[in-house]
Amino acid sequence: MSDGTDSGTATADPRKILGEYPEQSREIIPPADEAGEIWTDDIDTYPLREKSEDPRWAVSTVWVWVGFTLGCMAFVTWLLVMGLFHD
Amino acid sequence: MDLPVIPTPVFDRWVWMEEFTFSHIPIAAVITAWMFLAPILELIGYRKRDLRYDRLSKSLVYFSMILFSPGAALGTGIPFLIIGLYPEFWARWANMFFWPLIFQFILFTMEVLFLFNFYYLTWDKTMHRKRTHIACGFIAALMGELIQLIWDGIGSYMLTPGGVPLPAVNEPVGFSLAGYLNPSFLSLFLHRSFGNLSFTLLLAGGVFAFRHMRHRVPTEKAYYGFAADVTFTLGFLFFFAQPVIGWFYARVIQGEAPVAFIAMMGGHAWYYFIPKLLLILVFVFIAGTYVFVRHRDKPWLLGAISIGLASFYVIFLNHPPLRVFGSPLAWRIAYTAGILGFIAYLWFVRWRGPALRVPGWQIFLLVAGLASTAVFFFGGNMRERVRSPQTVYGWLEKPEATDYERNRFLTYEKCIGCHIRSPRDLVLPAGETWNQRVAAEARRPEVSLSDEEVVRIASYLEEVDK
Amino acid sequence: MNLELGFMSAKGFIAFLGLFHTAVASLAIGLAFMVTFAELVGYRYRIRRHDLFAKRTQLFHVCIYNIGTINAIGLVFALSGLFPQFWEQFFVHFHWVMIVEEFIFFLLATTITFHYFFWDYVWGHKKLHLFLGALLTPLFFFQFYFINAVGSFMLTPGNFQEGTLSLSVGVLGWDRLGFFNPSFMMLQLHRVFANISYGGFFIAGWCGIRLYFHSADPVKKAYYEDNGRLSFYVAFMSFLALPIVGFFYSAVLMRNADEAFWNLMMGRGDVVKAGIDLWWLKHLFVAAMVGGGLGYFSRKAAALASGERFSVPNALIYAVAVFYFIYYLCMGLIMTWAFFLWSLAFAVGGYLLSRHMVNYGKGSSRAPFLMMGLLSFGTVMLGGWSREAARPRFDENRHSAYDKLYIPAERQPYLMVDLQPPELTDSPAGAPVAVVAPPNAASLIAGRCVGCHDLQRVRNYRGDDWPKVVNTMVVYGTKLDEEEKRLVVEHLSAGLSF
Repeated sequence: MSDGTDSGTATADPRKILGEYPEQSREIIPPADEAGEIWTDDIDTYPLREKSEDPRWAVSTVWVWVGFTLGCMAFVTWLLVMGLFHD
Repeated sequence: MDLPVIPTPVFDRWVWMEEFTFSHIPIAAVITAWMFLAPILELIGYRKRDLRYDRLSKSLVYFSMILFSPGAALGTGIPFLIIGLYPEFWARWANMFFWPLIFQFILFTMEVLFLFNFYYLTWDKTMHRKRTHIACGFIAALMGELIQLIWDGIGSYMLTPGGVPLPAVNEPVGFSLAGYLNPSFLSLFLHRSFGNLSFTLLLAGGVFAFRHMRHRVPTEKAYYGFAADVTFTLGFLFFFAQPVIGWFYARVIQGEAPVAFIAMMGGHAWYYFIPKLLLILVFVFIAGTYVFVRHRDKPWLLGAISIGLASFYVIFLNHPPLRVFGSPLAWRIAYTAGILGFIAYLWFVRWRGPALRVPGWQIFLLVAGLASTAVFFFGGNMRERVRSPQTVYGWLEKPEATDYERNRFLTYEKCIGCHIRSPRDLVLPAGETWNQRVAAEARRPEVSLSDEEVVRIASYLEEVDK
Repeated sequence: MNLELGFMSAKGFIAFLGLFHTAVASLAIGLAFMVTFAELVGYRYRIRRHDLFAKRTQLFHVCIYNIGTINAIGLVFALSGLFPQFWEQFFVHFHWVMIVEEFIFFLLATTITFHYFFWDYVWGHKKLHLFLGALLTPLFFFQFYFINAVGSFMLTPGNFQEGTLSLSVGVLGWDRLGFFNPSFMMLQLHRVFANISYGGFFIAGWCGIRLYFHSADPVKKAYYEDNGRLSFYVAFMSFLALPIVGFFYSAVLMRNADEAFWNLMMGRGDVVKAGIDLWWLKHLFVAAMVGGGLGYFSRKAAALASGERFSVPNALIYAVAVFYFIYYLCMGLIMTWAFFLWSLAFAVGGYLLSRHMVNYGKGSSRAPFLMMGLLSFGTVMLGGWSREAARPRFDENRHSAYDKLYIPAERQPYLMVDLQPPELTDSPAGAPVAVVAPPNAASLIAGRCVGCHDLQRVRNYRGDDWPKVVNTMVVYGTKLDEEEKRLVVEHLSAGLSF
């Protein structure tokens, strides 16, 4: 099974796809946004972004989840009201 | 206990129990397996100085972290549901395994601490202290495995108690070592460990392959191809332990919980088992083809896989012949030809590999991953259903047990195993009723059936015939 | 006979697990609110450091949420083993409450996960992200609502009666009067405000600790100082409601759980440990926090002139001080002057100490933050301990017997536990098969009939056509075989009790 491009065996050294392994350097690699601190010079700048720049799958997921949660809250509220009157 | 049987809305109690359990178990399986694999991949990357392994390892851990909170929340729902719907079972079983339950919660706390705080959050900061970081990963993985060890021990007791009684509520046991180290505990633990690794990696491989197909950036495309290859191949290799472990697991069940064994092999749960086997064939076919093409330059690996496939022959040899092809000889010819033919096919595609062009091959990998996930679901479902209507085999019946289920249990217990292999082998001679047939069987000197049992067995067989 | 731990008492173990869980879970609730507030402020005023602070707090929240979850299940397992009779009755009694609470818990876990991990993915949809985070507060309110109703029932079961008919089918696992018991709303209000307060003070305390390590870096110093003050502000505002709510809570207890009330007021039973009245100690901490908060804000009041947010004007500080002085004075009139004088001493001490700490730190808020964080943690632990310790306890067999408050036999007779297991015999196949004991008519009636209606209806029936009635019930769906039907009819026809 091949589409003509073997994964990981390009003409260049495949291990260099993600750069060099930080062997000797003790420099801390800039952390990904999802963890750790970000101390930048412009910490007081609020970086606004266009809505179109957000990945659609993420926005859709959040919308779906918000809708589902609101529905569940309405359902639970209904259960509480019903439970108040019935035993 | 005289606590009431709480009815559930819309679906039966067992359906809700199943849904709650199946909402949690796949997440737990993924997290446990990937936490086990992540430090290993990280170590490989460290030794090879290859950042791709590091990125793959980190992504597995990252996804595990995302799943952890919802998975834990769903996991708490399982005992909540059991305590209310099956109060007697819970009170007696939690009494028997009090200390393992407390101990596993301590392990869980350690797992969270190590996974979140010492392993993931420190990843980038400890790039130059890899050994410490990897050690933290291994500790987190160990905690996860120990938790699974505990749950498998106390869960397997429900199917194979091994003669250890389920204590009463007012008998303070706390921990029964004999109950914990019951006959099927090790089989279940090994089967689930390898199974979790296999299906989660096959699924991950399929997803990575899909991303490889869709991505346009060359470096990302290459990375996802690498990730798909590593995970899919590993998932396939882990699978090879499963039939062997499964064989021994089935043997233990046959000896310790014969009614459950019969339920699985021809009884009311066989229709979980057969689709499971068919799905296994599907993903083995796809995965085998992929590995033999992709890794055609590793004859030692392909040779090992061939030997593994050939070893399944031993399992088939020891299994009683099925009558799907009419006669035992036809069955033996069929599986011999099948195994040898499949091995030959794999070496053929290896030889033809470079010339093969299958567009959308990534979709096949995803299909294989989904098939293996379905196998996982079937397996767990089956293990729980074969015990029906007993919650703890031989010691406790579920409160909503029906007469039909009780009679079925009795029929399997008394009738199947001696001279008949499967409930479907029971054939009513012409001109007789089941009452007459069973009463006649009861008159055999080696058969011990009371009059009430005769009536119950006949009643069940009449229901089945309808 | 009961399980014994060996290294500590059963109730001590439960207390430890309960307090551990409360420490984490209450914090989670407070954090959820603080995260939303901080993110909202950051968005409103376009201040990045508040948004960053909210994100990092949410990460911390994600981490501790799982610890709280695991601890909760450890508590459930411990109760199952150590207090099986109580736990099973209680859980069956409130089964649906616990299931719905668990479902909300799942919604919370997933919402928190999405909120944190999608933070940067939906940056362009900030309002959507804010709304997602804001959902956590009502979700936590809901979840807490269910837990507090069940927890407050243990203290004030209220007037109980058997389940009445509803929609022609009685609902097992739900107790309307038990859920909406006398103290459930007060407990809910008290804990909601307390958790927001605790969460805010905890974060402020953490910021205070970080300020000790980053006093030289102006960026980090401003970050921890501003965000700490934001948290402190919200926490203190929420905290101010607590003594008022607490008063009304006590009033409810006085009317509906007088033994527990007097245990608290007089320092009886487990409320006193090692010679220390933990309930009074909590009140002294509260007084110190009132003074400490006012002292901090009064010292920082001048900052308002320079435009710093989350400061309180002097006029408001004095108004609050006067209000609480009068409040505690009234408490002194109702309770004892010793209560008033000790509270005043601690409040004034807290006020002066707080001001001194800011001066000593050359304007840094680190010490007051830390002090208030520790005091807040202390009040949460002491308050939870006192509430549980004040309640009349179990009997020596760990059977639930809340001294006239709740006895299952009176409340819902079908909740009584039969502690004898069924007889077991070996079957010829080798595996023992459970043989159920012959059915008892009274237990059949108590067990099978209540699936649709309560037993009072059976007792009230004055006719004598029991065979016809029971047959009709079987047609309607009651599960009784022929033998059981015969036993039930004979029992009812003879007018025997059940």
